[in-house]
Amino acid sequence: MEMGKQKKKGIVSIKVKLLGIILPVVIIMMVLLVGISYLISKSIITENSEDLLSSSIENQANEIEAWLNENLSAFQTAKRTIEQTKPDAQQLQQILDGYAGFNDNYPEGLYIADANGNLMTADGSGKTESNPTQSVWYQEGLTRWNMGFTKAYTNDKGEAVVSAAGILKDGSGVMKVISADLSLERISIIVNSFIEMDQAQAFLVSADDGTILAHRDMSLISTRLSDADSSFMQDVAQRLSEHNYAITKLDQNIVDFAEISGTDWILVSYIPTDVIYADIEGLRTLMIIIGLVSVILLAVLIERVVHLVIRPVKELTKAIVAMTNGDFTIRVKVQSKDEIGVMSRQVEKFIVSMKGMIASIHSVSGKLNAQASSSDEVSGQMYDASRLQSQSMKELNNTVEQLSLSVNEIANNATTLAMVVADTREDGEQVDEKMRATVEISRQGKADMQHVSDAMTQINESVHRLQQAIDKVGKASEEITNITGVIGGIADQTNLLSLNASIEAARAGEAGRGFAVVATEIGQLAKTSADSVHDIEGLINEINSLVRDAVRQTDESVESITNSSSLVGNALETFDMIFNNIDQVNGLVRQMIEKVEKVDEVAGNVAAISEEQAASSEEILATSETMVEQAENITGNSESVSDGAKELAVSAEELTGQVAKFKIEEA
Amino acid sequence: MKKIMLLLGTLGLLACILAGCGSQSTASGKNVKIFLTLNAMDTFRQTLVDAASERASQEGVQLDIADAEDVIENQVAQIKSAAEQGYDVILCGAVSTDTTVELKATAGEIPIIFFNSCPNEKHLSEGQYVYVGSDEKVAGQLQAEYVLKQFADKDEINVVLLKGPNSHSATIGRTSGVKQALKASGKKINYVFEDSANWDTEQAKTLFELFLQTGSPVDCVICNNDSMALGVVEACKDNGIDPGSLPILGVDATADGCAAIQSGEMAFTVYQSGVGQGQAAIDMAIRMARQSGTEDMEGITEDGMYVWVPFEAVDSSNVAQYQ
Repeated sequence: MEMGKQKKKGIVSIKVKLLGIILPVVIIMMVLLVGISYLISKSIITENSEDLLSSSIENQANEIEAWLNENLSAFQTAKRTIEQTKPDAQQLQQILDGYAGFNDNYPEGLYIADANGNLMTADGSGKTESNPTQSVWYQEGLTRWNMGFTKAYTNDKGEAVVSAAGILKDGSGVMKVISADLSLERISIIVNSFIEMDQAQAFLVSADDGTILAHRDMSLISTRLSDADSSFMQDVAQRLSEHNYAITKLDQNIVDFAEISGTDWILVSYIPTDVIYADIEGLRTLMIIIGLVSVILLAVLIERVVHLVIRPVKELTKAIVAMTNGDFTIRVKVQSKDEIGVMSRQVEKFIVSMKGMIASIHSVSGKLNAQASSSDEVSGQMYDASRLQSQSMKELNNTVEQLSLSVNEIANNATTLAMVVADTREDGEQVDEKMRATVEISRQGKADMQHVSDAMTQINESVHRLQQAIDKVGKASEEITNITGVIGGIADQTNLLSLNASIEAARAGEAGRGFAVVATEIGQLAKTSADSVHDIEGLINEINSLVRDAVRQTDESVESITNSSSLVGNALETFDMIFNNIDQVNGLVRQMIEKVEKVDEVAGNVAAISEEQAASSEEILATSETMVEQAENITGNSESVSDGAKELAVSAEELTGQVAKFKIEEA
Repeated sequence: MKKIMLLLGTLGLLACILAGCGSQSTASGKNVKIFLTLNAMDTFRQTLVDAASERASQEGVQLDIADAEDVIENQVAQIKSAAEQGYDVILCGAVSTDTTVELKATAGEIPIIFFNSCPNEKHLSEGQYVYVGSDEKVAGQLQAEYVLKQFADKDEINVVLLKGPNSHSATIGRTSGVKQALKASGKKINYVFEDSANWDTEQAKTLFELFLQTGSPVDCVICNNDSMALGVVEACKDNGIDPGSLPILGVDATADGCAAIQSGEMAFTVYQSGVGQGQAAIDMAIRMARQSGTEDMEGITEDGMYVWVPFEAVDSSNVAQYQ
C-alpha cells in the first residue's frame, strides 16, 4: 500500500518507462511499415493491374478478332464456293439452306440481294427485308468484295445487328450482295466472355461514329457513346476522338483501348480502381490489425518479462522501503544469481550490519540520556546558586555605590574647605603684607614727619637769614639812590655843556661843524645817561617796595612756620602713636596667618585623603560592577548551560526515541 | 540507417564507375561492330542497306550484313551467331514481327534496332529495342492532304480505298492516317469501295473492275501502295476510263509508280526514304553502342522507342528527282 501511494506521488516504475519507450517506437515502426508497404503494394498493384488489363484487352481483342474472322471466313468460304461453282437458283437455295441454323452466331445463315431488289434467304429463316437495295447491309456490301462488317443497325425484326456483307461476284451480270447478320447482343456476350481480368469490363465501340456495338448493359447497345450520361463514357468518347489509345485512368477506372483489326472497332476495357485496390485495402486493414495485435502482444510480453525481471527488484524495493521506515527485521530473499542477486545479498549484509550498529547506538543513547538528565539537574542547581550570588553582588554593589557617593561628597566638602582655608590664608598673607606696607609707610611717615620738622627748623633759620639779607638790600638801594642823584647832576651839567658847545660851534661856523657834531653826541649821551639814571631810580624804588613786601611776607612766613613747626611736632607725636598701633596689629595678623596656615595644611591633608578615599571607593564600585556583571554572566552562562543541558536531555530523549524506531528484533 | 545509406551510396558510386569504364571501352567508333539481318532483299531494302553500308564506312564502324531469305529460322540463327561474336548492336528487318520476342531473347543483352517492319509497341523499349522507319500514318496523311487539296471546293468526296493485308502494320498505319486526316477535314467522305488487295496489282485491278460494276460514283482512288494503284490504272485503261481524269494515289514511289506519275496515269505517291532509314539506323546504332544517349537523334520520339525518317510527297511536279 505504501508503495502504491509512493507511485502516485510521481515515481515512474521501470515497467512504465520501458513500455513508454518501446511501445511508441514499435508503433511508429508499425505505422511506417504499414504505410510504406501499403504505398509500395499500391504502386505495384497499379502497375500489375495495368499490365494485366493491357494483356487482357490484347487477348480479348485477339479473341474477338478470331471470333469475327472465324465467322467471316465461314461466310467467305460459302461466298467463294458460290462464286466458284456458279450454282443455279436451286443449288444456291440449297447452299443458303445449308447455312441456316448451321451456327448459333448467325442462325439465319446467309442471304443474298441483287440490284433488282430480289432477296434470297434460306428456307425457314425469318429474315425479311422490305427494300433490300436500300438496306444498310446491301449499301455497305456494295463497297467491297471481301466480306466485311457493316456499321450497327436495326434490322426489320427490330434486332440490333451488324452484318458481314460483300459483293457476290457470280458472273451473272447482276450486282449481288451476300450478307449474314450477327446480333450485337450475341457479340456483347462474346466480348464480355473473353475478358481475362477478373472484374474488368469491356465494351466495343465503332471508331467511325462512336456507336456502342457491345456492352454488358444491353440498353446501351447501338447508342452513341457521346450520348451516354456518364462522364466516364464522355471521357472515353473524348479519347477516341483524339485517337489516343494509350492506357490511362479515367474517372476512377483504369482504361485501355485496343483496335480490332479488319474493322474500325475499338475495344475498350476498364476496371474500377476501387476493385483493384479492394485487395490492397483489405491487406492494409489486415496489416493494421496485425500491427495492433503485435503491439498489444508486445506490450503484454514486455509487461510480463519486465515483471519477471524486476520482481527481485520489487522485493528489494520492499526491503529498502521497510528499512527506510526503520524496520530492519525484514529479510531479503536471495534467489537469482544476476546483478540483482548480488544487490540483494549486499542489502542483506547491510541490514545485518545496520542492526548491530543501531543496537549499539541504542545503548549509547540510553547512557547519554541518563547523563544528560543528571547534568541538567546539576546545571539547574548551579544556575540557582549563580543567581543568588548575582543578586548578592548587586546588593553589595548598591551599598558600595552609596558609600562611594558619600565619600565623594566628603571629598568634595573637604576640598571646598581646603580651598576656603587656602583663600583665607592667602587673604591673611595679603593683609600681613599690607600691614607691613602700612607699618613701613607709617615708619617712613614718621621719618618724613621728622624730616619735615627738621626742614621747618631750617626754613625758619633761612627765613631769618633772608630777613637780614633783605634789610641789607634796603640799605644798599638807598645808597644807590644817592649815587644816581650824583650821576643825574653830572648828566645835567654835561647836557648844558653840550648845549653851550653846540652854540659855540654854530658860531664858529664851518670850522666848528666837527665840534658841533661831538657837542651833539655829548648832548645825546648826557640825555641817555640822564634817562638811565631816571630808570634806575624807578627800579630802585620798585625794589625797595619789593623788599618791603618781602620783609613783610617773610615776617608772616616766619610766623606761619613757627605755627607749622608746632603742628608738625603734634603730627609726629600722632604718627608715633599710629605706628605703635599698626605694629601691634601687624603682630596679631602674623599670628593669625600662622594659625590659618596650620588650618590650611590640615584641610589640604583632609582633602587629599578624602579624594584618595573617593578614588578608592570608585575603584571598589567599578570592581563591584564588574563583579555584578560577571555574576550576571555566570548566571547567563549557567542558564545556557542549563538550557544546553535541557536540550541535551531532549536530544538524548529524541535519540532514544529515534533509535527505538528501528526494529531490530522481531516483535 | 546511416550505414545502409552509406552502403547504398557506395554501391551506386561503384556502379557508376563500372558503367563509366564499360562505356569507355566502346567509346571509340572503330570498335563498334554492327550486325544487319534483313528478311529478304528487294529494291527498297537494297537502297536502305547500301545507304547503311556507306554511312558505316564513313563513320568507321564495322557492318556485317546477312539475308534471312524470308525464313525465320535463318534469321534466328544469324542473330544467335551475331550474339556469340560479340556485336554491339543488331539491325533487324524482321521476317515476321510476330517473332520479335524470340529475336530479342536470342540477341541476349545486345540492343536491336528494327527496321522496315515495325514490331508491336510493347516489345520496344528506350535504348534497347527501337524501331527506325517512317511513320506509316504520315504516308496516309500526305495522301489525304493531296486529295483535300484537289477537292478543296467539294463538300462530299467519294473515295475508293484499296488496302494491304488487313493485319499488316503498314496497312493499318496508312489507312488510319488517311481516314483520320480526311475525317478531320469536316467534309463528308463516302468510302464507296474499301477492300484489301493485298499489295497486289492484279487483285487491285479485279477489285476496281468489280467496283466499276456497282456504278457508284468515284472522285479518287487511294491505295496503300503503288502496285495496287497501278492495278487501278490498268482497270481504268481496260474499261475506257482515262486514268488522268481520276486521281489515283499510291505509296512507296516505286519506279513504276513514278513512271505512272510521269505519264500522268497516277497522281500521287509517297516516297519512303530507304537512304534516310539506312543512315538513321547506323547513326542510332552508333549512339546505342557508345551509350552516348539518343536524345539528340533526329526524328526520335519522346518515349525514345521510334526514330521516324520523314516521308516525302511525290507528284508530277517533283517526280523526276525520284526516278
